[in-house]
Amino acid sequence: MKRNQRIALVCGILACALAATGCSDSGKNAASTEPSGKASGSSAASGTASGTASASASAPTEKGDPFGKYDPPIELHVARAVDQTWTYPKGDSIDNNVWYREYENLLGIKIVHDWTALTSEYNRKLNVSIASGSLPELFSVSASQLKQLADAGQLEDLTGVYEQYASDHTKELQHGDGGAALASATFNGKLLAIPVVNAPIYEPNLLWIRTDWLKKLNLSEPKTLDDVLKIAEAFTKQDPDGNGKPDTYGLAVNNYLYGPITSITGLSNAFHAYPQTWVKDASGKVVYGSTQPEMKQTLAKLQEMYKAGELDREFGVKDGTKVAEDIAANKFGMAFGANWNPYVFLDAVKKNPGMDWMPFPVPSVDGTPTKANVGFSASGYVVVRKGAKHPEAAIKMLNLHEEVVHGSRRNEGQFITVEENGERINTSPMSLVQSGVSDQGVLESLTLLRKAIENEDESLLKDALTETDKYGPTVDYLKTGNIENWAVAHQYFGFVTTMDNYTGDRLLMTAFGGQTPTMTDKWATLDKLEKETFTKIIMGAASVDEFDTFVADWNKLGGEAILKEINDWLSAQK
Amino acid sequence: MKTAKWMRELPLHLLLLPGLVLVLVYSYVPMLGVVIAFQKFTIFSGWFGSPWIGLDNFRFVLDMPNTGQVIWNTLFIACMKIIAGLFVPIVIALLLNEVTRSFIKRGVQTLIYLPHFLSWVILGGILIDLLSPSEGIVNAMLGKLGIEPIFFLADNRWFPAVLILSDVWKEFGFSTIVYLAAITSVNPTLYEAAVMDGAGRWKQTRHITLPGMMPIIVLMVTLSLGNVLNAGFDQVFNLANPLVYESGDILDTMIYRIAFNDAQYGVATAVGLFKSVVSFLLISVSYWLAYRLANYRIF
Repeated sequence: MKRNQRIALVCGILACALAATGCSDSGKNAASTEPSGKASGSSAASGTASGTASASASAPTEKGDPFGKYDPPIELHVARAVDQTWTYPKGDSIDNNVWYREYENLLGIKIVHDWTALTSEYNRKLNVSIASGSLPELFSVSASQLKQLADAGQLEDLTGVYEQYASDHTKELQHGDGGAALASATFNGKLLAIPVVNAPIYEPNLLWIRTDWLKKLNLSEPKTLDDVLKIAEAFTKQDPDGNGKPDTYGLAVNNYLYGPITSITGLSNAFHAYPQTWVKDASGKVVYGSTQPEMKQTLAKLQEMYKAGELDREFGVKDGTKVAEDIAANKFGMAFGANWNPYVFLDAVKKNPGMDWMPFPVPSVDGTPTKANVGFSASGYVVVRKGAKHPEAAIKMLNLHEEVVHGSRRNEGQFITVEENGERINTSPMSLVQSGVSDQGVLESLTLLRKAIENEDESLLKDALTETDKYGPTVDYLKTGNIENWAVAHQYFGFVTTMDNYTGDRLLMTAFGGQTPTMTDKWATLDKLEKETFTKIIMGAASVDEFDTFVADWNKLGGEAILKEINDWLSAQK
Repeated sequence: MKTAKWMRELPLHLLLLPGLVLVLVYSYVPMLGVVIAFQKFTIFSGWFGSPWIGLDNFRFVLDMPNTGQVIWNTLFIACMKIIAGLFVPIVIALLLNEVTRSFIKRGVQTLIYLPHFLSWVILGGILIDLLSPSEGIVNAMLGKLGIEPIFFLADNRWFPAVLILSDVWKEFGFSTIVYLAAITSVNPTLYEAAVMDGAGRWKQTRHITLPGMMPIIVLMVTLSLGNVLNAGFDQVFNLANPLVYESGDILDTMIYRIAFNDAQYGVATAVGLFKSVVSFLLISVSYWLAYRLANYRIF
């Protein structure tokens, strides 16, 4: 026995030594020669841990250089989505831009596009690429694609390289949401993707009201839900546009029902309903927001408003674009939507001098403050194909992003918006591995922004991680009323409303951000059922009691199974 | 002698080769893909790795709550399109045939042919505006007649009619040209003889023009039978909304949802295969009928 152990020990040491020498021989730069595989990574570490054979299982990994440069440079094959609306500074292109040059100069990573596709086509093309078995080394995926790829064992385990290479700054920012995003990218204890951490605090549906109409009709700003409903009625009946025709509506809604613009989510929140969101009920179990009794009250109210002519009779066939056209045609005085809705209204505001929209918090039906339901803190994932040579390159690129966008090297004029001939060109989408600022960071930055604007002192912004670009335009708008800065300034007003009303427990994050097997099978059917039933109820084509049938059908057609899977998944994670 | 003939014809047969290869590569090889209708297909395992599950995908589809409705919608919309798409162009062709001024005739032909070149994406937007109950020109005209505005695109009773009529509007110009061509091939001496016998325009139409067109009409009908399960994906996809799923959802839009929203390629292929098998039967029947009734043969 003893003899065997000793042989094992010797063998272990020899193996480690071999692995270690192999590694240090394979490249010239020490920082970039960190072993990439799990096995060699731990054995190299155990080589330093005085050769105890058992150490190979859970040895702490060595710290790598977060910005170590590959020498000679490596090629990284990627696939990415591009958008038609992107513009580039002169001489730049998707293949050669400020980010890619920085990857190459600082990190020694040369980006090679396997393919690019328009944002709308990206998913389809990626599915084809997955099907043909020719995955690029690095690409972004949705939560459901991540789950599929993870189940199929197609992804490189990033646990080790993340631990080793992620800078402290990166880790801090990525954990700013309490770790929910990273947990959602972890399968069986393995980190298989880099989550794009985002701040759900950007999402609450605010109540946007045309204040010029309020003034015209001598109405005061809404304090209660009743005020809101009265305003909707007045906007419909009292001819706020003064053209003598009954052609205005109180509330704008589009046929998708939910989402960040002209949505019914805000009104639902007023009734404490949280549609399309996985919420925890009193017993701690996850339930589906759209099937809760509060939703029925919301639909009943919407039906009432529809009957009273306060909604566009034709909303059922109009999508967001068409509703935006109608807003520009002076038809709507109120809409629920996110803080960035002013950019949607801007066209209308330019066409209609005097039009102004202001954001308000959504008052609730019973006086207890509303909560706003928001999505998950990971909005997407970047993955590395299994067997890719340099999985740590992804982490280094993330470090770079966090440093130049939200960190010490923050240089707005270079990596975020390039000014050229007086035009501001947004270059941040070119960054391949991105991650945003979490709620905490955003709130801190917004507080600084608010202080800076109130005191007109830009220097207060130096510690802000994000949103610093709102300072100049907002201050200018407040002074001069320049219409070009109308949208930015009004987004800032939206921020203020959010900061004052939707922080802490008033922000209701969905309890689950992934995809379960039954969801994959049934979601198209369930989603169709929901939209169909709700639209019919609102338009009066079905009675409000149809909601109960919907709930029963929803559960029967797979909803129950999905909830069970989610609850099982969540309890297994604990 | 025989060999010589064979040798002479060989180059002509070789001309077929590129076409044959293209058909093989792009039409027959992809057909092997239907095997995934019988698999629990995951794109990572591919054809060879995915487990066989027999007819489970078909059962899954039949268990889905709306399948019956969807099949009915598909059949109903497609059949009505075939019927309406047959009569309208015949009538228009007969009427145009009576127009003697050739510039009017050609002008009308060109105008009705135009919508054929517009995509349903564009026509969808135009139709939403035209049929709007509050501002659309159609409802404005109905209003003048004292009829309450109708919400054509959101009413399950009207939506199929909108689909059928707008499809006819888009395509009848094309078929009209076919029928006009058929009319010109009628022997003019027959008309001269009819005039001698004292037949008027209507009698001429009934007893000469229509029978003369009959083979083409029968041919067009029988050929369109093969399309009976194609109710028109582009059109429905661009016009449908949650309010009219009940009357407007067709097999193709269902396949689209299953395949591209849920990435369930096995199930989508199963529906597609089912559709193809039925279509194949219908095409076989229609070719047989075309042969019997109109003496039309492909080979």
